[in-house]
Amino acid sequence: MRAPARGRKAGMLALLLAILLASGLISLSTGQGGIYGPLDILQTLRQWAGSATPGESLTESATILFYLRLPRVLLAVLIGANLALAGALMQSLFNNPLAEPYIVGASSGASLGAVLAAALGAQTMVYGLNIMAVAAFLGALAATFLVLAVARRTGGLASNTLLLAGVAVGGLMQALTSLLILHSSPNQTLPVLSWLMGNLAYRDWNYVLMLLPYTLLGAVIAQGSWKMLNRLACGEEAALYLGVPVVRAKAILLLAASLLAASAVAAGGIIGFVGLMVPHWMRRFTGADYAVLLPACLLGGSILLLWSDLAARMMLPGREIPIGLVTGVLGCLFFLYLLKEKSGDSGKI
Amino acid sequence: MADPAQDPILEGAGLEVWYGPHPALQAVNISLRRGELLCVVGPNGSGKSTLVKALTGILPLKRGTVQLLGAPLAGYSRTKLSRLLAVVPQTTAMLFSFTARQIVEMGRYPFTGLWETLRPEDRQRVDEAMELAGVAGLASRRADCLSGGELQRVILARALAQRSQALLLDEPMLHLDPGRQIQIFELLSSLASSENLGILCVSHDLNLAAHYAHRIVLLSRGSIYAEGRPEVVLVESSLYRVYRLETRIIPHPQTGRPLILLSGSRFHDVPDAGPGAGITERRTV
Repeated sequence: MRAPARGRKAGMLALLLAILLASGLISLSTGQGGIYGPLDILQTLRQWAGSATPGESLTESATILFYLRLPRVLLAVLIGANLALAGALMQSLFNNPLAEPYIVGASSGASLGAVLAAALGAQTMVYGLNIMAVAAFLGALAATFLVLAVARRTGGLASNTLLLAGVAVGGLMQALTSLLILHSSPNQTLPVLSWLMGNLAYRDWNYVLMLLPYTLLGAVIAQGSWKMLNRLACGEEAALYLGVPVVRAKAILLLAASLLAASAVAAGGIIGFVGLMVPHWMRRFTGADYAVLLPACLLGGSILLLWSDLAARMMLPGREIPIGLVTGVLGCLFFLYLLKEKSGDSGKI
Repeated sequence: MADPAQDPILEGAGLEVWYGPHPALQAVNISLRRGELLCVVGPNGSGKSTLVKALTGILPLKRGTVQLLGAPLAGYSRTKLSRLLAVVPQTTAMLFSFTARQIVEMGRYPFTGLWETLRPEDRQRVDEAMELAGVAGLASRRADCLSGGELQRVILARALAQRSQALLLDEPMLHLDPGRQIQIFELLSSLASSENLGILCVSHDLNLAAHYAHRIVLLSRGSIYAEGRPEVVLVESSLYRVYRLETRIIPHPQTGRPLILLSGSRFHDVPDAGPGAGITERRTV
């Protein structure tokens, strides 16, 4: 009886993987620089492999595919995976189905960092990354550690304490961000605002390489903790009785989730709702068990962000809209749908 | 019956717990021995749940020590602890709808390594525990499709799957119908003797406690009011002082254990007055 169930879950993950690969190909071949069929992609791939010798210049299509689209496609995949995994972790960690990746201040910390960096000059590059990305990453981590420190002082890592500390620290950072934006010139604030709304344009391979280790590390820590996440989802008291060293587990998982969120924010700006939507969406197929939910979230988040990015690129001719707006609209629709479906039910998401 | 000379599995000495400025438990000495079913009874707010939490190390003690198998509780990791001590907590807050089987499987997680899934023997234990708690037929049912009583028995199965040496239950009979309550008590009492388990069970049902417990601890305002065999603890004067309850206690016609009959006769002496008025009336006598 159990073997077919496990087979079904493996089949589902395989299906998600297939959808992800197909979505990646579609996203790679579609764009405002022209549509490329699979054959074009194969051809440029051969050309790219053959041009390993330096000095040989690539054709225009190869340049578009490998220096503009491919990093962007991979970035969408990694950011989607990061946000969805972070959301799944946070929901169990905070024992709250509405917890999301930015809950302990990653977004407000990142905003403050980015605004500070922009005041110093938004075009500065650090290790091939825009200084806003680096500052956002540091800001997000700083906010998380501040929240942790505040919560620890006021009694352990109870979910409510963490949440309150997150709200307090987030409020302070938002106030500082607003103050800085008010006191800077429009040509300084415009890049920040566009960045804050989420944007995957003009990101080269450096961002992919920056993000990849965090995605891998986060995914490994998350998958290694599926049994803890299941037990934490039964409440803190039950988790203790079932052998979870709750404070240590929470600290590790919170750190992993924050790294996932902070690196994603650094690479793509604030892209809302992915971490909230994807775990709930995936639970409908996988059930609550984190052993299957986590890989499903990784794949589902990637798929969602690929399509959101495609929409952001293609919706308006000749210009892009911020990807954060696309996921915002999707999130709104998703939760309206959940509400409609759950009205009259127990209300359990 | 437990051998009094035997070392206790779980022992609390001089336990004192405060919630802010309010004492919740004071100078409580309690021991749980192998093979015994110990019932903790007492009115609301008398410290029953606090006692369970103090004995399982999830509440900070202001004073006192808890020892598990002769060693201080604080010396055990939570994983080690969960292999020796299983708890059925009073409330169950399930965030997402796991299936009944997935919930019971969590009782085996402490026995597996970081990257391991459940081994065949773990699955066997899960099957046995679900069978014992009478939830084998609910395996693939999601938690949100279980009744309160069914979920309660699933949680009991999860604790049984832990195969611990001591089992602590905080009002496991909540939500259960009388038939199920008796089944669970029968199960606990047979587990105590067959598996040599030490079982501590918080209960509000004095008659069930009197019928099945080897020993009873009667708590009142955070302290132990009486402790011992059911016929020693459950006497009319004690129940009156602790619960403000008028009772008649007679020996059970079949077992000879105390059988508590609630008698509200005094209340009816006062016309047009609620039970509260009856109590005031009685107290002034």
